[in-house]
Parts: sequence; C-alpha cells; structure tokens
Amino acid sequence: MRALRLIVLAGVLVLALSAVVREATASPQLGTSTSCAAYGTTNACRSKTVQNVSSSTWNAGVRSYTTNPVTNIGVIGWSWWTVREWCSGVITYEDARGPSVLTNTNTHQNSFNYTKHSCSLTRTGYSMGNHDFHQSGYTHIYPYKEYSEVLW
Amino acid sequence: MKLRTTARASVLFLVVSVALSIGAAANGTSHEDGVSSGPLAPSVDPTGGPSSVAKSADEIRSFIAAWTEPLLNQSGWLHIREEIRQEGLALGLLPDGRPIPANYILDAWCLTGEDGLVTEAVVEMYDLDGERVQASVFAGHEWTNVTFQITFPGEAWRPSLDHGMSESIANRADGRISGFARSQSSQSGRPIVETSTFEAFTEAIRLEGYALDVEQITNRAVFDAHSHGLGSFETTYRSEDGLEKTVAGVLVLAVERVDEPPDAILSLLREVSQ
Repeated sequence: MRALRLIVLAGVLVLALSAVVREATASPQLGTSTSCAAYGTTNACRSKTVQNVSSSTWNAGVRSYTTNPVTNIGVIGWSWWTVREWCSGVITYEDARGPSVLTNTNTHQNSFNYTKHSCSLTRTGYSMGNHDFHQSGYTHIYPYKEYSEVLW
Repeated sequence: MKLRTTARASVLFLVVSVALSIGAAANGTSHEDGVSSGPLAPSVDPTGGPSSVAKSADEIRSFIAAWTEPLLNQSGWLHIREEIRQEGLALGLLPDGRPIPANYILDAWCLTGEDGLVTEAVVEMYDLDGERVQASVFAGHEWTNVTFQITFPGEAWRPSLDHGMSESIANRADGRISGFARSQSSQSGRPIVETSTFEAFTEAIRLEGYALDVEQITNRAVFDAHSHGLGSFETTYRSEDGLEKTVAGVLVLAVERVDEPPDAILSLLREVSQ
C-alpha cells in the first residue's frame, strides 16, 4: 500500500514538473515578435504585435522592456510608432504616433483596437517604429522593430 | 511531511488544471452552437439548435461558393472594381501627407492559377474624380507600392470576393463572429439574398478612428439571387447609446474574367517585375 502511494506521488510530481517545464519553454505569443539585445547592465527588448481580434477588428501593440536582469533604466519607450493597414499593397489606414517614454522603470507598452477596412483582396496589418532606451552611462539607443500579420 | 504537502499541492494543481481544461473544452463545444469566445458576446441562434445553425451556415457558404469558385478557380486574369465609401472613420495620412481618401475606387487586375491563388497583381486606388492616389504591384512574393516606393513581402493569396462573409461564417467557432442571418427579398424588382454577420462585444470596444465605443458590428452583403454575385457590402456600428451608423459601403462595379489587362497595367507589372 505504501509502495503504491509512493508510485502515485511520483507520477503526480512528474506531471506537475512537466507542466512547469512546458510553461518555461512555451512558444512565443501568437502575433508577437520580440528581439532582445545586450544593453548596459541589462538586455533591451523591443516587441511589436498584430493580432486578429474578430472578423472586423484587429489589435496592434508595442512594448519596450528590460530583462536578464529586469532593470529600471532612465528612459524606456519608443520614439515613434505607426500602425498601418494595407489592402493589397495600397494603404487604407494609418495611425502615426509620436514619442512616448517613461522614466526610471523597466517596461512601457501600449496597444489599440482597429477596424478592418473594406478589402476584397488581401489585408495586412503592420506595427512598426523605433524603440527608445537610455541607461545612465550608456549610449541612448533607438532600435527599429516591425511586425506584420495577414488580417483575415 | 514536506513531501506530502508538495504532493497535495501537486494534486490540487492537477485537479485545478483538469477542471480548467474541462471548462475550456465545454466552451469549445458550445462554439458549435453558435456561441463565440474571445471579446464577442455569446449569441444563440433563435432559429434552432446546433444542427440547424450548421445547416444554415452550409447553405450560405454553398450559395456564395457557387459564385466565387468558378470565378476564382481558373488560370488567367481576374478584374475586380469596387467603389468604397466611408463615413465617420478617421483614416490617417498617406506617407506624402495627403489624407487617405474615405471614398475611392479600387481597381485590381489579378493573375490567378487554377487553385485561385494570385501570383501577380496590379492594384490601383483612384479618388472619385478619377485621379490615381496610389498603385501597387504584387510579383515574386513581394508587394511594391509604386507611389510611395515601399516594398514588403507577401505570399500568393486568394481574393475574398465576398469580403470575408463566407470565411467568417465557416470559422464562427473561432470567435470571429457571434452570429449570422440570411433573408430573401427584392431590390429594384430583382430578387436578392441578404446575408449578415454580427460581432457583439461583451464590453463596448474602442476602435481607433471612430468617435464612439462600439458594442456591435454588423456586416451585410447583398447578393443577386440568380447569379449569386455580390452587389454591395456594408458595415454598420452600433454604439453604446444604441446609435447605428453605417461606416462603410462597397458597391461592386465589376468582377470578371478577362483575356488580358490593359497595356498600361501590363507595363507597370513588367516595370516592377524586372
């Protein structure tokens, strides 16, 4: 009886641990592209998202953050961010936004919902722009990042 | 004792996980009944149960496919011309600083294979005075907007001649729409079939470029009952205060197979392809 109990416990533990491992190695979030690069004492990460929400709506986002280790830096955000909708290579919508930064923190992000404009051909949503990182004692950097998805 | 505590926690974790999985599965099953997930509110088809919803969806898709499939699934040139009118939507600016026109003509010449996929295309946007606003070329898995000299990658694609109506209904279980409807009537003495899809949001949603929060979006397509061809397509927003506004209307001017596009279109295609 005791041996059986131990086998059950071991099985439960293996299952629980495998769930934790899956969490740690989970694939990137759909509709998101992230790039990280060493910057100062941390890593500066730039991320853009484009996601289909429903048949007539979509969402675009931007995120700047530090990781490994998560570090508060002097300036974090983006210097420009543009969301664009293409209908077969012609521009049907554009939302151009200026700079947005936070100070002495480790993450800045934003996202908005958009309508899908009329298109009987093929639609593509773009989220693009330069991120903005500045850590005291290091060069101010403005890395570019873009991401696109076909909008159904 | 510590091991027992860990084991109890693991068992609890598993029980909660299983319970959540069952909940998710239950939600998934309910999709088949026309109930959507995500930001859309659940909707129940008043006409009957799951089988009648599925049957109704199949009927609409078959009706539309009888028009689109013969048009799309052949090699050669497809010409699409539509007039788009929009109201109440802020559309932003083109790269040259001019506003993106709310009302325009979209003229597209697409070279398709027998699978209906477009491998080459020239697409032009004209304002209603006939001035070309922008043009693009698709060739070699790449889009080139020749007006603004912007290039980006693209895959061979299939035109959505019904503006996504059939696709939305087919994928309703993914939460693309929360319901759909079909009715028959006549317009200017001609029998028509109207098909609508609804996206009802659980909470009114803010859409950039529109002044009011939107609680429901309705897309309505009008097809000719005999030819099954799409005549018009419109999008209506219902805002929180119950106000309904048609924000976009499309008038289909031409969807036709042609031997060859005009010389100017072929020249533009050649110019970009080289």
